[in-house]
Formats: sequence, structure tokens, C-alpha cells
Amino acid sequence: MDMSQYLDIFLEESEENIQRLNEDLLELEKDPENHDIVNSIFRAAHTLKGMAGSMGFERIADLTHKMENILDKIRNGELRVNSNIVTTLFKCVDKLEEMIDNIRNEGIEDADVDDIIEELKKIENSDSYEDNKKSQLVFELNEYDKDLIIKAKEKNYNVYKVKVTIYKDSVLKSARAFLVYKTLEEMGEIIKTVPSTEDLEQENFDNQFYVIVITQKNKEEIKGKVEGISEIEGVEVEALQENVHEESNQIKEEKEEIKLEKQIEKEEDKSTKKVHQSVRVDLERLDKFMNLVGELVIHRTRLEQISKDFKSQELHETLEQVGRITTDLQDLVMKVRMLPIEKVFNRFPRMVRDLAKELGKEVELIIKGEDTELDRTVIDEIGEPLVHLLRNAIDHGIETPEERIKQGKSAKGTVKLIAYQEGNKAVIKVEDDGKGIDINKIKKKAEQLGINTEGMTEHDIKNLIFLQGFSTSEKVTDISGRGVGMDVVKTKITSLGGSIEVISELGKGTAFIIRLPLTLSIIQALLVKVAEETFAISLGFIDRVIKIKLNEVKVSNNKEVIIYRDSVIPIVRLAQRLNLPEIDSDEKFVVIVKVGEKTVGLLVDSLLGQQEIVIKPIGKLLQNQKEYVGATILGDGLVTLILDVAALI
Amino acid sequence: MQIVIFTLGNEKFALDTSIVHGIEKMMSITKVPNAPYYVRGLINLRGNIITVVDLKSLLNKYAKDEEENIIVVEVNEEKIGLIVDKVDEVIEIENEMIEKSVENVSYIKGIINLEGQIITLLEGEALLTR
Repeated sequence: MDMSQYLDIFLEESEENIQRLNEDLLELEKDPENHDIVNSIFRAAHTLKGMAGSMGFERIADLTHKMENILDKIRNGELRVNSNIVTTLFKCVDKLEEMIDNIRNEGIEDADVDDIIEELKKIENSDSYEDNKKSQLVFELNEYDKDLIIKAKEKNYNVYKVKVTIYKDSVLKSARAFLVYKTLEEMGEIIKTVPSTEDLEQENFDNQFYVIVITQKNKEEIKGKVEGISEIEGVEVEALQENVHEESNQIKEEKEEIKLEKQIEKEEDKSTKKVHQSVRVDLERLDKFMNLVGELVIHRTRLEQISKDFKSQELHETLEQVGRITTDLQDLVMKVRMLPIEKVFNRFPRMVRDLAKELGKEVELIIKGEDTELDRTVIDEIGEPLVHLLRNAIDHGIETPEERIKQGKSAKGTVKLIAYQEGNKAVIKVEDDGKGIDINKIKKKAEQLGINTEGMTEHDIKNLIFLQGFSTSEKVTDISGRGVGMDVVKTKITSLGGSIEVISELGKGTAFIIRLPLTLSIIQALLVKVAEETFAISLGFIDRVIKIKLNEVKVSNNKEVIIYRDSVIPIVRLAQRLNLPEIDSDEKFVVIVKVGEKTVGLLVDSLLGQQEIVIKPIGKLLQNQKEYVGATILGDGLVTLILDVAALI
Repeated sequence: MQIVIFTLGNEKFALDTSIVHGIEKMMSITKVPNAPYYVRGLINLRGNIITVVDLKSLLNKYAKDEEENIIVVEVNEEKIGLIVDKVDEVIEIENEMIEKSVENVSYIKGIINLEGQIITLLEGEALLTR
């Protein structure tokens, strides 16, 4: 059987399970007595084992099986969790990750698992060893199930436990299971399957499974129907009641009488939630979808322009409708592409733990706002810079416990990773309460590089660390502890349309603030005119727009500024910046933009209004033109450049 | 091979049609301030934004003639428009007809002598990636 089509799914799901293992193990380390966590670890390991087994990855299956043995002993109270066990389990997870990586890259799980299995065996044998029986199919009916069964009985429905055995050598077990499921569903309501429907779908079962069904049909009818499906070896139908009955009275008193049908519906809702109904879609298809919606937006704008000339009420109304639908469609495709940043964040606790241990530091990582959603492309790219910032924070920011105590701080350092939404931007903060940036060291370095820091604010000086050349310097790394590859971090974030800045106080700590656009390709923009050319500026950057007389522009410190509401705002003449002829007019407009903490006014000749635009990339021949993030096609069919505000100021 | 012959100033040039995506009439071009001297700007080609190169500037020719056509070529997976004065014709030629050029530059593939008319055959990829 060709497995390649399942490989991607296998890899992705394995990653999820490994992630869960990592998280749970971290929890277990903190709370060794918590059996819920052990159970959760067990489940993750078990799922991995099942998946690996069905894909033919024997070593993963083997290793996870050994892990299960230990976890089982912990569950049964035969073993007590200690740091040795947790460390060994962590090692197992690393090994599993390595094997998954190898499968991804080379197609084979090639890795040496003997040592680790030996270690596991040692732990296992540290207590009386008993072979872990093949995990038996056990029913665990929760209160909800029981309640449902009781209600069903009261309405004279039959509740059966159906045990189905499929031919051992069937190659389509999941398909058979599905047929059984469907057949039973036609006759009544299925309230539970063991293993779960998910496992059935993925063939994570031997050749037997159970289904609990509520029906008005009798035993024979059910047996007959199921037996009619091919490749079924045997069907056992038995009424389910005894163990449930004893609690029935109690439950009846406690709970309100609800109609059976409703209950079943509810239960179904619940179970679909549990299964997490989702479809995995190729990102490329989503991108295509996005592009098509983009096209639609362009043509809608175009139609609107045309309809203005026709002045037809009917056309106008229809167009408005089309407009609404396009907007909805656009929102939808955006949302489809959005993922919670959790996906990136959740690998950090483990990384921080390992790094702190390695460096002999005590670090607590606090994560907030992991449900903040970002575009898929951003999610894919943001991990690397964040790893960089976190590493720096722990390596150079947080002091050793001794030093911290000397400074009057608590021995344990804190690193905070916070995400939240701010307007149409997502903000990610990496904060530490370490030693902070020494501004004098930066000044010195700046001098060496020939940068004049005179007249610069402290804030600006600190942000020099993002400059190229600053970063590669080992000296700064040693002294201030910041700088390795900071320019790389900045470049990455800028390429995502975001910005980064640093705020730091000597001795108190450092915070890096990253601002990212929520979505990448469709934005609200202000169209402006400079000389004869039209440009678009993303509304995300714009603070406000004001009209000025040219004589309001003053010169201060050789720079042009305007005074607006008591603050001095430096001016960038776009015409000058873009080498366009300056239009001689007394009245101009200033678009006040904000990038991070920086506020600058862009001087333009006139405003053309606000519009939704689709960002399209510009070709390789123009890739050195940093002043533009891309171009867009306006309603009149003309191409308009989109200014990169961050690069202009 | 098939080539497309076009005019720049008072000279004839040609490109291999295998890289030619289409021939367009001159259309309005959006200027890109601060772009390299040979980039004329951007056009909207049926919903796609394409960079347009002034072929005469690129070849250091400064004749001022009316520009009628844009030849859209595809090199390195990118479509680029080349502004030419006029596209003349598309013809089949034999490889033997291509003679070595005295100018030894990568973007000139050779010279074709077509019934007394001298045509410079350009190498699209080298032309746009040098």
C-alpha cells in the first residue's frame, strides 16, 4: 500500500503529539503526583505508537511502547515520578523528534534507540517488572454517557454494546469500520466507540472495536445488518445496562428532565467538538484562493468606478451587494489563513528550560496571549527571530542566581513572552528582568563605527543595536550581551512588514517589542499624490493627516519639522525622497505616520482618498527598491506603488 | 528556431521566441522613482504587475523614436516587459544562419544576415540578469 500520501499527515500529527509530550512532561516535572498528566502523556505516546506502527516505523513504535510501559507503572502506583524518570522521558521525546525529523528529511527513521531503550528498561526493572499486557479496550463511560443511556432506557430504547471483529488480514480496516459505523448510525444513535472514531478512521486499532448504540431495533436486526458488511469476522451484540442502573435514581433526581432527542443532539455536538472537525489544506491552495479573492477585490473596485459613470440605481444596488459578499469572503479567507501564535510559542517552554539548565540559571518563562492570531506566513517565519530574542534574554540578559541575589533581585529570573492585538497589528513582546543594556557601551561602539550619537535620544541609541555591524561585533556581545544577529532579527521582521524596537533600563531589564501586520496581502490604504504620481500608504502606519501651509515648516537642527499640537514632528518631503519634481504650491498635506515609537510627517501634494488594496509583489529587477513594499492595481486599471513607510523615515 | 525581429532606433534586433510570452501594444506605465535607469516602470498586464525595461537604455542606445510595442518575456520565472520601437515580424531561421558577433558580450548571441539586413540576436536571460 502506498503510504506516501499519509506521510505528511503522519509527520504533522506526530509533531503535535511530541509537542504535547513536551508540554506535559514539563508539567509533570512541576507536579509529579498528578496522574491526569501521566494519563495525558500516556495517550500521546499511545497515539504516536499507533500511528508509527501503521506507517511501518518500527523503532518509533518500539520506543513509545517502552515509554508506555513506564507510564503505565506510574499510573498503577508501581513507580514514583522522579527527576531521573522525567529526564529519561525527555530524552525519549528528543529521540522521537530526531526520528521524525529524519523521516521528514530522508524518509527513514534512522536513529540509535538502543541506549535509550536500555535506560527505560532499567527504570522499568527498578521495580517488580510485569509485562504490560497489550492495551485492552476498556470502556470508560462518563457521567454524560451514563445519563444518556438511562434516559434512553426510560424511553424504551435499547442500548447495545456491539463488538465487531474484522478479518485480520483486511487491508481496508478503517473503511470497514466506517461502514459498520454508518450502518449502525442508520439504525440509531451512536454514543461512543472504543477506540475513538478518530482512531478508527486512522486504523489505530487491531481488528476489533466496540460501538455503543441507542436504537429501537432489536439485537438480531443489528447483528444481521452488521454481518452483511464484507470482511466482518464476527459481531457480538449485548445489551448494556447493569453497571449503569445503580446510579440511575440519583442522577434522575439531580438532573432536569431533558428530552432524549435533545440529549443525543447535544452529545453529538460535544463529540464533534472533541474530534475537532477540520480539514488539512495545502497552503498553496489557500494562497491561490487568497489571490483569487484579491482579483475579485480589484475588479469590484473597478466596477464601482464604472458604475459611478452610469448612475444606475439598480447597478449600484447590485454592486453594493457584491461588495458586501466580497468583503465577507475576504474576511473569511483571512481567517482561514490565521493561526494562533500558540503554534510557535508552545515549543519555547522546553527550550527555555533546557537553556536555563545548561547555563546554570534559574528562569521562569511566562507566556501570555498565545491565542493571538496571525497570518500563516507570519507564523511560519516568526519562530526563528523569537528563538533568537529568547536565547539572548536568557544567555545575556538574565544574570546568574548569585549575581541576582547580590543585586537584590530574586534568584529566579523572569522572561515574559506576551502577544496581543493592537488595532490591525499584532504585538509580541519579549521581556526579561535581567541586567539591561548599558548605553555607554553602545555609544562607544557607535563611535568606533563612525556613528555620531550626539543629539540622539537614549532610546535611539539603544536601537542602534539593530544596525548591521553592531551585531557581528563580539565586543558588544560580551559587554552588553545584546547584539548577536540583531540585524538578522530586524531584517526578518521588516521583511514580514513589521517593526521591532528595544526598550531597556540598566539593571532592570530589557524588552523587545515586535509589531506585525495581522494580514499580509489586502490592506486599507490612503492614496496620495506626489508630483504627478500616485502612491498608496498603508493605513496601519497612519496616525493622522493634516493640511498645512508651506511656511509652517520650520528648520530645527538642520532638519525640517512642523509643530503639531505642541510636539515637534520631523518632516520627510516625499518628492525629494523619491526624486520627483517639487510642485510649487502653498498648501500641502502632511501624513503623520508612526513606526514603533517614531513619528514622522510625510509631505505630499494632495490626497486621493482611502481604499482597500491588494498588495502584489514587484519583480526581482526592483528588489533593491526598499522604498516600496509592493504595488497594487487600482480601479482604473493603473498600477500604483505602495510605499514602505518604515524604510522611508 | 523561431525569432521575433524588432526595431530599436535604426537597428534591427531579435529574440528567441521560446522566451517570449506575448507582444503588447504600448500602454500606460507607472513610474518607479529611484529605480535603476533602465527600468521604465510597471504595467498592469491582465491583473499581473510586470516590470517594464527600456531596452534602448539597457543597450545604451539613445535614439528617440516612437515606441509602439512591449515584448513580454519570461526569464528566471519572472515576466518582464521590454519596450521596443516596433515589432517587425516573427520568422523561422536555421541555426547555421547565426554568425558570431565581433562584440564578445554575453547578451549577444550572434548576428543574422537576413537578405542583406543585419539583425543582432539577443540572449534574453543574460540581458536581464547581468
